[in-house]
Amino acid sequence: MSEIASTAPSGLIQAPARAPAGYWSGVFKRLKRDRLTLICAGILLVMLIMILAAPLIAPHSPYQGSMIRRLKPIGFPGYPLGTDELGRDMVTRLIYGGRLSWLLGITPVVMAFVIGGLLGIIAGFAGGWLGMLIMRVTDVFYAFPSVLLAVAISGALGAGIFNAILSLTLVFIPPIIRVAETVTTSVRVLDYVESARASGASVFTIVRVHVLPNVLGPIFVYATNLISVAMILASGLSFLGLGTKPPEAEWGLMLNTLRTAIYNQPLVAMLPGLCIFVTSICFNLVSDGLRGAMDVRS
Amino acid sequence: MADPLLDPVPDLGGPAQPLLLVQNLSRHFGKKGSVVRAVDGVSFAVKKGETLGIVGESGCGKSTTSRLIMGLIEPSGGEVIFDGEHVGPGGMPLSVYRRQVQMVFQDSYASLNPRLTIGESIGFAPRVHGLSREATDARVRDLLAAVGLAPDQFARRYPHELSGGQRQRVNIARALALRPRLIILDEPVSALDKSVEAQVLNLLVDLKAEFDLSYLFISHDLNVVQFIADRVLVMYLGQVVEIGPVEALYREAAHPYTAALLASRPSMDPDLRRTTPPLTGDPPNPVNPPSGCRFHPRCAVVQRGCDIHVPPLADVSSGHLAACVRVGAA
Repeated sequence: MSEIASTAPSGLIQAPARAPAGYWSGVFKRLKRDRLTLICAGILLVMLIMILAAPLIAPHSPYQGSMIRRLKPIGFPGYPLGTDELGRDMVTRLIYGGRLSWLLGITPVVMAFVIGGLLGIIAGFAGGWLGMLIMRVTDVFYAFPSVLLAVAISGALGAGIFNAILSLTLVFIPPIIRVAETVTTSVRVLDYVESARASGASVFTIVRVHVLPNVLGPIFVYATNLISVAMILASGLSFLGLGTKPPEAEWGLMLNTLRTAIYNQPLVAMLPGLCIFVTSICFNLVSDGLRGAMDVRS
Repeated sequence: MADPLLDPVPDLGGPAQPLLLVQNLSRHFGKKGSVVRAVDGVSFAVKKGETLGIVGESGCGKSTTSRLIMGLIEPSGGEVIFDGEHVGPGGMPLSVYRRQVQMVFQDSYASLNPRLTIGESIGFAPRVHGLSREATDARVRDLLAAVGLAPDQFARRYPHELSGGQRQRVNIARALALRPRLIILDEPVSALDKSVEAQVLNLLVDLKAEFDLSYLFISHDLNVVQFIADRVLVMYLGQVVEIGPVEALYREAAHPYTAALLASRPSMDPDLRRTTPPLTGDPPNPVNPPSGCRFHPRCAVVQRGCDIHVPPLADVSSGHLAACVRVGAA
């Protein structure tokens, strides 16, 4: 055993000639190959531009109705997607409705991502009694179904956009805490964290350099997944009269007020639901695509 | 040029002083009623400039011992003495100790942060200890060259772009970054191909001379330990059963467990291949270890009394000790 032949070249080992690839450039390369994710991201982008530019592109006023042109069908001259039960243009209402729906879908998730992510990472990295405390309180929130919890909090706070955002944030904090805690716990025990501890780095440095960059990705992917749920819940709250109030345009609220017309103009009545459906599907697929692209070993 | 913060810590006790002295180190896991004695009263020394190999089956406490010595987990009892000074409160501060003892792990992928470049990974510890960015860069380049990787090409790469052998070289470079005096190698070549394993072992031998190191080399591969170690320590169920110079121990194992381990190596000679396993059964549950000598239920030469008396480590020959009644009696 003592005469192990050295098969190493006499000089230094040379790396393959291709350029060094950073983590994010690899992610983008994999994303570029994923056509479904690109299409969904494109649809979302078009939607975002439309709702941001709503006052510029909307053909009519979102609030100005007319009794003589109520519930016109799809394809009615001047009103390509028909009119609602008060005679307001559906194209305009859907574009303006997207503003509130997106706001209600994204804001709670962003807020829950910040708060829940922070608490979850603390719980996962600290462990011990602090982690135990955070996780058990999280479990209490978990005891209620999310829809019920959102309705209960919104009901207690009263109707309104701000209260709806607040209640949805509270609903999404526990699942994000749980995901953040799980991911952090799995990273904390890896050898590179052990090695950093062995080098004498402070806890803060270890978390900043070694833990955060490796846990934020998975938590972010999970949070994008929640955007669709948030939109559906927000629509549900509006449908129940707990979110936005008429005459505000919001997809869930429009679905609610148009339900009386479901027998007269079923296709028009379904349009807000279709918008919710397409948006949430796109957010889900983009989130799945991101998850795949962020896996280095794929 | 020389940064006082990151020069090797000078030798204090002289060549005769053991670099690392582990006394009665213990670590128990679990609560009352089901305590796992993962490491139970382990004592040994690593001399300056030597390589001490630790061998044993899975779950015998090798890795727990290494993490105890690194201070990554708290011991239940016992102490670690580094170059004559007690490590911990009242003695050498952990921060000073950690600069002198570094570790290389088995899983070369899990031991590198996937979001950091190779250069950033190696330079992390020096930066933490306050070395300037320029000095760190220079050191990273020196270290990459020392472990046989072209610095210009590897410093900016990410771990997933490297092969297992290259990653393990990076891990070794990182362990060297603080100019330590002792490196704990926890199964450093177990996950590598045989040809790559040989290259990394040769590299370790070269680096030891170049950087004036001592190694604590943990492995389950007896051939590797025979190649690299000066002395060997055999562990069984959290205890030391035999320790001695590599030639003496491999020539005539005094403990039946060591003998069985050595006999379990596949022979290159077909005529010498055995059909019966030298050792049967699994190691007993460490929650409830056997009474007396812990090896007696699996021992081929068990005697009356082995299940009652705990054999102490006794001299076989100079520097060669084994914990078996047959050694004490002879």
